[in-house]
Amino acid sequence: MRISPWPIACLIGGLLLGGVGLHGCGGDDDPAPAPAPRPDLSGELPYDTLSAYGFFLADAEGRRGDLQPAPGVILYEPAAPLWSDGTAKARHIYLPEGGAFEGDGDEGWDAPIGTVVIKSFGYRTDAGDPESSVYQMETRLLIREADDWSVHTYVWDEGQQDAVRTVAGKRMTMRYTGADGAPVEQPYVVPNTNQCASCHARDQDDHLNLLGFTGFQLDRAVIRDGESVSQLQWLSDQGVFTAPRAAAEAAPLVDPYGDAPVEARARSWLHANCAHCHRPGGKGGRSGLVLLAHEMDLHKVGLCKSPVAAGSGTGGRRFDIVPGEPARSIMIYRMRSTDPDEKMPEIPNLQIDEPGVQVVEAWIEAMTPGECEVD
Amino acid sequence: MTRRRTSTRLSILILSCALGAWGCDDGDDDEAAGGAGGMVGGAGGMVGGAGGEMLPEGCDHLLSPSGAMDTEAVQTVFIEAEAGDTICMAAGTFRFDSEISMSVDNVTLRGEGAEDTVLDFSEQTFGANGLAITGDGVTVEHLQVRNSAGDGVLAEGVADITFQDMSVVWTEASSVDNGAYGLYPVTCDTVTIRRVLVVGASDAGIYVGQSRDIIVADSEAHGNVAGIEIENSVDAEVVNNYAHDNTAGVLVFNLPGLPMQGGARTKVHNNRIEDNNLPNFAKAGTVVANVPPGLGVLLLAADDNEIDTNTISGHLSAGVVSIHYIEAIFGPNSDEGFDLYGQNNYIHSNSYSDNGADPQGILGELPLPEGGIDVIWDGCAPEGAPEANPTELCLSEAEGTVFVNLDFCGGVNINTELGAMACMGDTLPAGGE
Repeated sequence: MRISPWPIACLIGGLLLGGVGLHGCGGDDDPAPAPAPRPDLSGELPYDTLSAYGFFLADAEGRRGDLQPAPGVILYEPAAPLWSDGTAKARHIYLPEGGAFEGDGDEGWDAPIGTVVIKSFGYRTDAGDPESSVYQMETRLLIREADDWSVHTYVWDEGQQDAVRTVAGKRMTMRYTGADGAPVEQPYVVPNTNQCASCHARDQDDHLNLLGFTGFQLDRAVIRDGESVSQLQWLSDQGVFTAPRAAAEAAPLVDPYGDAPVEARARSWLHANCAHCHRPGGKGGRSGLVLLAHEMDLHKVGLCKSPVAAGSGTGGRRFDIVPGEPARSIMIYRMRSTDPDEKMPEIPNLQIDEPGVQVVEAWIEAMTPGECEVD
Repeated sequence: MTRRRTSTRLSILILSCALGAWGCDDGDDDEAAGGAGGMVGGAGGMVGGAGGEMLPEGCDHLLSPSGAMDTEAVQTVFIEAEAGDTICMAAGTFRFDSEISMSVDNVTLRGEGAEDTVLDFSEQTFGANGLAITGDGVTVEHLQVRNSAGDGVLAEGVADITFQDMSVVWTEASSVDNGAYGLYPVTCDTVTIRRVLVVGASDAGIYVGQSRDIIVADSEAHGNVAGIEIENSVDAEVVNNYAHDNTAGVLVFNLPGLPMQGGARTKVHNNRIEDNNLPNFAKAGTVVANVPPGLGVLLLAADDNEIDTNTISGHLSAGVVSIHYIEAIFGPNSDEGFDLYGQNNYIHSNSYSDNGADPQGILGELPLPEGGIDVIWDGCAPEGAPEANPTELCLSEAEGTVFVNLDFCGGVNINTELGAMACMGDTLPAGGE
């Protein structure tokens, strides 16, 4: 069923150039391309294919897998990324012309209708080479509509030209060269669109939220045009906010895999991976465990806290965190589990984030040892 | 919340076609489905010949097992169903490798019978539940959820959830590897559970937590750690059930640290609660792992409950036990607003036999009277409570019912004096029979 990309590229090129015809297509004498158009969301959404939105530009072979953003599509990078089975992820945001985020604080900003948050999941073809090409598996969209965000998932084709909308999720296999040079086959799950809400409907009010596009996630340095700049400032310069933002109001998160103090790294990891549920009013809030980086009551963060709804997830341990003893802490047990009945987070991962777990372990290890009151 | 196009419903057909289901020459029939029956959508199904077949009466969708993994096809229909649709699942075994979920409101999921339509999660590697429900007004009926990796059926934050004529089963008996809860409505308003069977849960078979307006009726639970558990919930009625051969039959718990506090007003009546003596196979660290085997009914720190007109027999430890939240057993309480003591519970008109022959666990370590025990109170009360009946516990049982006051907090001077506890308490409305 796959159509060779050339006729399409030529046809599109032909149309753009006003009926120049197909001659010369693929040759050396292509005219300079016209300026790329902005994405078009004027049709009935969601579109069946990702390319229909026009977020990413096709290369000469009709491939869009390198995610070249169209005008108006803006890259952003959170400080503490969600662990997603080690995939290489790219995040973009598209704002309708003249639209900008409005609001106070660090999260829950109002986005103009027609805003799209775009997250693409792929894997490096050579795990040992951070410059190796990325094979895209899925791109997820959050589209701001009048009453809420809607969620849509697109699964990429093998030729990396386009992605097709799916609602039921998909089982995939990543095939790449491992860091040791040996071929790796790793399972991957594209979640179904109901499952999007399991993280994004964090307040149990059925409304969806952005998780990475928040002040304390965006307040970090990024490289733009070869220079290190403040991301919030840079986004402000792009017109993303109605009022420019220089810094987050709460303490910014840090890179869990970086060189910040271990406590900040551990709390940032927990925030990014757990706090969409483990927050007051969130789904994990019913256990009373609060893993927001800004929660100051360490008992709520798990210190000597008994589980209330862990089921078999306790692994026989009595407290979420036993200071100084990661091996006796339920938190570490569940982070290290791959059993669907025990693992945390519940979805979507199949693999353990070993460096991430080690950061949280090191944080617990460094706590002043002391028995939690028991018996 | 998702904007939908009419043509998305076509994708069901297209998917089915892609799976080699049947002739898809006239997919536009699907558009007629809203009016009168319409086309059959299958999970790679086997229904009908070319051109499809009319849907069974009352069904807006019909799913049939494909023999292969059914996750994607079933999940697609669950997502693309319209509010108010009835999704029918044909007899046979559906195979799932992942949790499946329902978020559309007012959907009825209907099988052909709890023994006939089986949702088999034995191959599940993804998701913490078998079926997860967030849509309001959902009904699940006439099917079986089998061997889910975690909980059987979760309903979370649902207004008006109904489970009826269905079962949740783990086929491995008493295994710690079985999922925790069978039916697991939590933070729900209006919970209706009728004529269900739950077997093998490693925590509670039928568990209702942090919810309001609950009825659990005409159901059976056996082979679980707890048969039926009502936790941090208000206004529950547990009636006409058969809870047998669990570690404990019926639990009414109020626990600290949960967002919803003040669990109260559970009426447990007209149940058969028998022979709940199964060794406790819950994982250490869970609250129920601390429950000694051989209990009919256990009240823990819950208020204003009524336990009446049940048949409670054959329990090694005791028929009914009412205790406060014992920190040494259940873990330290750091919830300052939490009331450790159950108040105003009324136990009456029950029929007891053969309880307390061989008290288990911590109860076995106490110098209890020999020859049988029907009702145990731990004897603990908050400071400053009146001397006479400090927790307003009332017992009104037939002559010969053996009551034991453990005096657990006062020096364990175990006695059988009812004193002011021989009283009539508050009754609760019953309407669910």
